[in-house]
Amino acid sequence: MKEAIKINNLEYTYPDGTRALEGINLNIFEGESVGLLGPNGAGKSTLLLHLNGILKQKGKVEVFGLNLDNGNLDKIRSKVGFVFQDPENQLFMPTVFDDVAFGPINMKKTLEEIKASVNEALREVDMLDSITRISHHLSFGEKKRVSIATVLSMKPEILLLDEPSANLDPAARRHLIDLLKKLPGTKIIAGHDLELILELCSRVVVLDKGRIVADGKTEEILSNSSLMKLHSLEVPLSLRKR
Amino acid sequence: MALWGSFCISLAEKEKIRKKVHLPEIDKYAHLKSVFHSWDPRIKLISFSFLILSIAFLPDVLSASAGFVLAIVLVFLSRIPFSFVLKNLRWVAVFILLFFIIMPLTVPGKILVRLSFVSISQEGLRLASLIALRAISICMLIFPMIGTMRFHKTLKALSRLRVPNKLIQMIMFAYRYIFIFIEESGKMFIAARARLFKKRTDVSTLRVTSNLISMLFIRGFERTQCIYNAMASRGYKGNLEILDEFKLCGEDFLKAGLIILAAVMLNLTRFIL
Repeated sequence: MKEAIKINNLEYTYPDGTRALEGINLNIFEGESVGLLGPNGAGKSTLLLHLNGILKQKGKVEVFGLNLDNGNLDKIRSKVGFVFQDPENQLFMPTVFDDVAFGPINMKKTLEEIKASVNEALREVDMLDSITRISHHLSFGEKKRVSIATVLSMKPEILLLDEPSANLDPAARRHLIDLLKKLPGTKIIAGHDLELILELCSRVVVLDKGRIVADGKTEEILSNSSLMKLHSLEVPLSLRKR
Repeated sequence: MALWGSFCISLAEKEKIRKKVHLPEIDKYAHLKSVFHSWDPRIKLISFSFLILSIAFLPDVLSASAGFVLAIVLVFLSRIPFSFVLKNLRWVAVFILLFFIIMPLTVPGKILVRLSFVSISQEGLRLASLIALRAISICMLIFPMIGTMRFHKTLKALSRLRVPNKLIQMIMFAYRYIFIFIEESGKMFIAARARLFKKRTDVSTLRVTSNLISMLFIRGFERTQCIYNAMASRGYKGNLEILDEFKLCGEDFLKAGLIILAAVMLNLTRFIL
């Protein structure tokens, strides 16, 4: 299988001295859905921010063989779509159309291509009817779906999702899971929603204190109660022995 | 659990915050249909700006009164409810009231009334009236100008009129996030009230309020970083490109001609009357 992301010896320290990542070595393969787990402050979001070139310090990140440096940044950002945890941060434009068109405009696509990408992305997330709506008038669940459309319009090959189900009600969460199941390509999902990760990911990477402490098949890792407990996690309800 | 529930901010509580605070939705009536709603945003902005400028330079109360009547007629034509306009003009009215208090007492001129050491001058009253008429007319004209189109269309029109991109970005983000800012400040004050904070006229209230405001600034700063990350990850490099599909037609020019004619006529009023 072809490597989608290759991380070598990645390190990151925040300006206040907090070591967020230490010696991260990780390979993610094309088409894989990988869950990124860990307690609060484990470094999950920091790691995701490195895969899109937003953060950079020490170590090497390669995306589809391209080294993540300033020369390749535009190319890599068009291949790696990042859906942030809070949709209020992701939706910064006045209307849904403008938000979804933001990426394709920056990719210097033609007007026709932009319109086609926006329509296609909104159709995929079932929000095409809201194309002319004002972003801040949407419900939280709708904002989340439009957030995903904002990156789908760039046709990314890798999708990074930071806590995608946070603050969603059960119906919106189910809708999101069904939507993510449909989406092709490589997916990396960071979060604490273990049931969602169990349903969507075939592989799980556990981070704690900035280091990878486990990497393997989802069911094997999530059902390992001692490992889960050791890293402030717990076995999902559906895997608990009754 | 019930106790915890009472401390959490529910969706209903959020809705209450929204209703309680007056959200600055200038484009609340952008969905209506009128001669101004169907006008091309670019030429509408130019025409109204010309009219506003001409009102700002009206030299006497008579022509300013004509400007005031014209502003009322234009608001009427825009179909924006007067109640909405008046509600938004109340702070302007408070500001103008100060002129009526200060100017008649301080501007020298023919004395109308003298009460012991205080005298009210005719010139002061005239100046205050002139300023009030001009200010209220200008503020009223903002509604048919901006309130008859969605705010994003105003931004797109400004962008096409070559207003600096940085300025457009600042206006856009201010408008987009003011709602979040108001909601967050509301949530923080509710959280403080839930821990027995009561607003009083004392040092403690001032200290708590200043702490809350400083936290709002910190949160605002952190949010800007997150928004910047979201923008950068989608290819933002400092310049914001906005798509628009404006098309000018003969009717747009006719409307512009009428507004500009009205502006010129206003300035000629003093010679005619």
